[in-house]
Amino acid sequence: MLRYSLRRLLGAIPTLFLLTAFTFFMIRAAPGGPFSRERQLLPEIEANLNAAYHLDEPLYMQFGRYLGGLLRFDFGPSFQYRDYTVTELIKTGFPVSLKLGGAAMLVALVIGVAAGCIAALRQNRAADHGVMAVAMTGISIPNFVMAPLLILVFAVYLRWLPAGGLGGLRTMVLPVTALALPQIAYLARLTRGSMIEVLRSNFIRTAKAQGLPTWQIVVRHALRPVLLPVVSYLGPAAAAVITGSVVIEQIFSVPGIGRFFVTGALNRDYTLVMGVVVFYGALIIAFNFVVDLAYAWLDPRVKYK
Amino acid sequence: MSAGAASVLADEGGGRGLWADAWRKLKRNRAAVVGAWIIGLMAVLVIVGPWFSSHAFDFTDFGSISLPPSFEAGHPFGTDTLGRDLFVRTLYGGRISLLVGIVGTAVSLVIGVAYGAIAGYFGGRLDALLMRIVDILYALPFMFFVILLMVFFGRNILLIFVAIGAVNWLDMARIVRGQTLSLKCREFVEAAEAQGVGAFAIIRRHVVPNLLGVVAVYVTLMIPQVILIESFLSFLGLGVQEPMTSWGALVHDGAAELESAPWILIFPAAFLAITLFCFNFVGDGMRDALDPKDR
Amino acid sequence: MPVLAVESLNVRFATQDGEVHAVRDLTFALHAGETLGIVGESGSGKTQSLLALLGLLAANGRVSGTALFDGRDLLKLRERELRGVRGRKISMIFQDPMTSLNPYLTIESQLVQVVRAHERVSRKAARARCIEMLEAVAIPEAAARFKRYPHELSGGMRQRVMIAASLLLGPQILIADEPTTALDVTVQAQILELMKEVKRRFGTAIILITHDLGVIAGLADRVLVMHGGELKEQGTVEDIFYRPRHEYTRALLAAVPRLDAAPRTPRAAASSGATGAAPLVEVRDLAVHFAVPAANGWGTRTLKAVDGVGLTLAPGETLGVVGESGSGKSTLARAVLKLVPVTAGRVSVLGTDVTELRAARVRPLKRNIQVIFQDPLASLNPRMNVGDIVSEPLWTHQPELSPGATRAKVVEMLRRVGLTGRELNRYPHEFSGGQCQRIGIARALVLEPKVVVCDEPVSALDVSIQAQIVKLLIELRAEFGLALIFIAHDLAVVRQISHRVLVMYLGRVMEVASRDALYEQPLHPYTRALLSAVPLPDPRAERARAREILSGDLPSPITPPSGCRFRTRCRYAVERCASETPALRRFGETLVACHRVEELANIRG
Repeated sequence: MLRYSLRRLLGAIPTLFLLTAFTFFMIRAAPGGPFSRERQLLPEIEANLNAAYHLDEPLYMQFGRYLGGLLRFDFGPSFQYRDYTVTELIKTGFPVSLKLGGAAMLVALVIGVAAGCIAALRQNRAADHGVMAVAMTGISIPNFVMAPLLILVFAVYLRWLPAGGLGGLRTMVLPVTALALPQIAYLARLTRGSMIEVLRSNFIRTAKAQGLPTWQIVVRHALRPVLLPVVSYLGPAAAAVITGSVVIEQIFSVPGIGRFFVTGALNRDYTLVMGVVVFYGALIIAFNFVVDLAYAWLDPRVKYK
Repeated sequence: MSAGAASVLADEGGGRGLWADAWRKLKRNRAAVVGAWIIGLMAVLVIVGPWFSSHAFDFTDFGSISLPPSFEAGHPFGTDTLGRDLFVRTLYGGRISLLVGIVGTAVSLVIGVAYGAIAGYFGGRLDALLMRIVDILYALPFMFFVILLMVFFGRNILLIFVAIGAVNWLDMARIVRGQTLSLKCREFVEAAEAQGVGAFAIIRRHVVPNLLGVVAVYVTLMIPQVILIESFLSFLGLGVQEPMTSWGALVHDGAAELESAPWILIFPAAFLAITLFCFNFVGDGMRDALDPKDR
Repeated sequence: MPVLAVESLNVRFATQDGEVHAVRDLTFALHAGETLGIVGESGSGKTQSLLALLGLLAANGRVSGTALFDGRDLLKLRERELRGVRGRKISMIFQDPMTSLNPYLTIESQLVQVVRAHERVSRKAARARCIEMLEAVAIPEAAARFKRYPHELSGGMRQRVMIAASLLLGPQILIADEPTTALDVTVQAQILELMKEVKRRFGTAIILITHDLGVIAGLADRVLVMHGGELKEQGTVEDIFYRPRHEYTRALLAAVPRLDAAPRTPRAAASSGATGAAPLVEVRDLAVHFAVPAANGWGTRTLKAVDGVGLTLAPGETLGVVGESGSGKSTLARAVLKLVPVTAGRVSVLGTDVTELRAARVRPLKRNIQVIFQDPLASLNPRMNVGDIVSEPLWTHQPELSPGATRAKVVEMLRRVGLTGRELNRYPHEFSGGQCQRIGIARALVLEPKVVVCDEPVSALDVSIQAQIVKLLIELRAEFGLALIFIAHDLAVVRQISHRVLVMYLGRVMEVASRDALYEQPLHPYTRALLSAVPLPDPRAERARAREILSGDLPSPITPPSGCRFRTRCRYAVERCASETPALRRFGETLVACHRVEELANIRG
């Protein structure tokens, strides 16, 4: 197991490097610099600014400088929010995004998997059709359509929940729901399909023939193999939640990292954008690493593959 | 199991190919059939519809701002904040959304199938390398790159196709590679190799026809995904440029006016949702028809 | 008083294509301690009827009739009550031990669960009981194996674990559904011995479902013969085998290939060397090694599928190649056909050394050496119609033929293999297994090759169809003057069709002999064990036989035993067998790879 983890870890490093390099050079390749969108600056001032931020150096040197900074967890200064470094900005925004995204993932996992299991166990009956109908809705209605609708219904008409902002548990309900819904749908469909297939396995037939009660068959025998594709999907699910958060944070006015990304991109704030991408990328890679370990733990045959 | 065993007829006549079988199964799936009809209607509507309206999609009429829907006034879906007829704009947006869906999927298809087939057929080191790349790319928050591309290089519709295609091909590549690998081991391919059939003939006669089924299913399921991605981009303000519009862009506009003029959001959102629903139903139906185990 | 009395059992399935009546009016009784064999081919309904008793049918199944057990009608019991019966009063084991155990749980976990689901015992007590049972089924190092996962055990061991699990609660009836079909014949012999032991020791009544008449002959007291969902005949095992009344039973008995039956192939006139004709296929010191990922995750190990094999095939000769799983016989076939890369050694086809040749150079030779595969449906492209499938070899090797001429050849070939010639536009999935195999044969012979490699061509077919296909091959062989390499694990079938036989074990050749010599006076210990393990469909003969049961399991081809590969299971092994690999040398007319062949021949007299 240790060797397996080490192998996976080693594989993660080039991925992170690639991510950083790709983003770096792509951003630099874009027309316009961070200072060219403001009012027209005098050429000398612009040149001074560029020099101060090392923007006049050859690209590879800038990249090297950036990598050095990364190793010290320094993402550089923000061009847009002049008084802050990117690290500080991320530090303020991340806990909020984490709460939101983490809650969404957890909710999606629990509800999605449970719903999928129920649908599979009651295949082709009312519960199954119900769950699948809701799931179909979840994957067909984009979250940026769902979010305003949720606001309309729950915040405006019914006035049960606040329409966003920062605050206690109640403010989180709508954004978390909007963010989690598509993932609930995917996970429910995935789990259902997986469960149906696993329940057809020979070893489930054996367990049944041995007289084990149904709940025991489902939980002790079926759940592990059923969860395997679910665990595999968690990586892309996390990526989807992060992507979705960009929009959700905007709609619900949640002060997380997502909005930094979009505004940063629009304002050519190199370091901020880089920071967000590299940070989230590293997060996803780390998450995938944990997911891989979880998969290996679930499936005793993995090491032998 | 003798249930449904093959019949032992020895008469002449056309055979029931696997496509014919799948077609029959698909027709029995009511959701898929209804979905397909609706998609057809939608396609006709978005193409032909605007011709029947007296309004141009980009004609701003400041005298008719944010009018609620009414047939008599000539605005069945109402107007938006710039006085433009929402009905025409919705249909026009549909053109763009569907176009992006189809072309974006086509781009993903070409890249994904080529990549996957090469990795799968040639196997060995090449396969290991190609799949490693896919694994790495799979882990990255791709949308971010697409967003970056859109922001930095302008909102060119061609670029949108390319960007979306570049994001989406991973799944297709994996599926095609998996299928190709398993096909290579199938006995009928070995039989052909044993006979001395050339590599290209094998790919042509044996591999590709057996890939088509899976590819067809995933293409159908991919179109709604691409439409979603484009809508997402448009919603962020990064999609097609004004005055061209897509459903996502319309939703973006509508979200801002949600409390005062909800119809600006509701109509395009409804069209978007219905289209996505239908594609998903048809895709699910195709998957069930072509691979019954996958229910 | 019978322990189980089934009356007018009917099982129906509601499918999209209409209702399927899988079991019709089945009536039988099972007595205490008795072994009841249910024999029938696929689709006969034998499995479904027993699944119905335990309420294990698929959701679209409907049952009617009565099944009296323990004073109650099983078919009327509610699920809760049925659960009390399953595993505790009536146990069932299934065909494929590979997939019948949960790969994600340890053996311990799975067995202990069974005990504790039915009885209130502590984990400790349950564990002790399980280990005891594992020892009773002769699993070595039971306590250690207990903590393992199923994939770490061999097929034979897994089936033993299944049997142990089924006996944990002392059931009155054990239902065994094709328990040995998926196992190698030597392992099958071990498991059958185990089942006899179970019968003796625990007095359990056994319902044994199988298509193998030899197994029935060895184990059953009474027999039910089923076909098409109906019971055709029932009686004691002697009645069925020696005095069959129903024509289906008679046909079945006639079709079964028997190890002791007179072969349909005449003795080969002389070996190829004597006639002086050049061998069509010649293999020398062939080694085919594969790199597989190592267990610890780093690097690779070598799987020596074929490790030093030689053979020759003379014109018109049929060489049977037998061996169990892991013997390398299929890999050997693929190496001869150039479907896998050769690691070492030489392969010559029609005098040309093809080992190093590239695909394009080999192609013209390929028209003379064709292949028939095991799985009839899988060897045909589901998207090509029959006409195209059989025409493909002609397109490849005789592209100059006009479409009309091609079609004519195809139709003629289809007729010759027993079809009508009007199947051109139909697709493989519309045909039965036997017909698909005929199509495969047509495809192989349309070019009139000199050599046909048959890789387990009848293993996937029902017994009655098997007999037809073997007969067809023998006829076509005579008509076309074919030389065959006939690979199979079924020794009885090989006996029917071969002139010479080659026995493989773990990638090496153990014995090569003329057919009669091999079957009448096998020299190598492995050959003897192999022949001894094949069950005879003759109750008296089968039960009177002296058996040579091998111990242990097949070693891994990644780490084969040093010296003689067979020594770990050979009862005659001595020190020399571990240090020195025996070469294949001549003993009389036979080639044998055994150090002690002379001694052993003397002992046996």
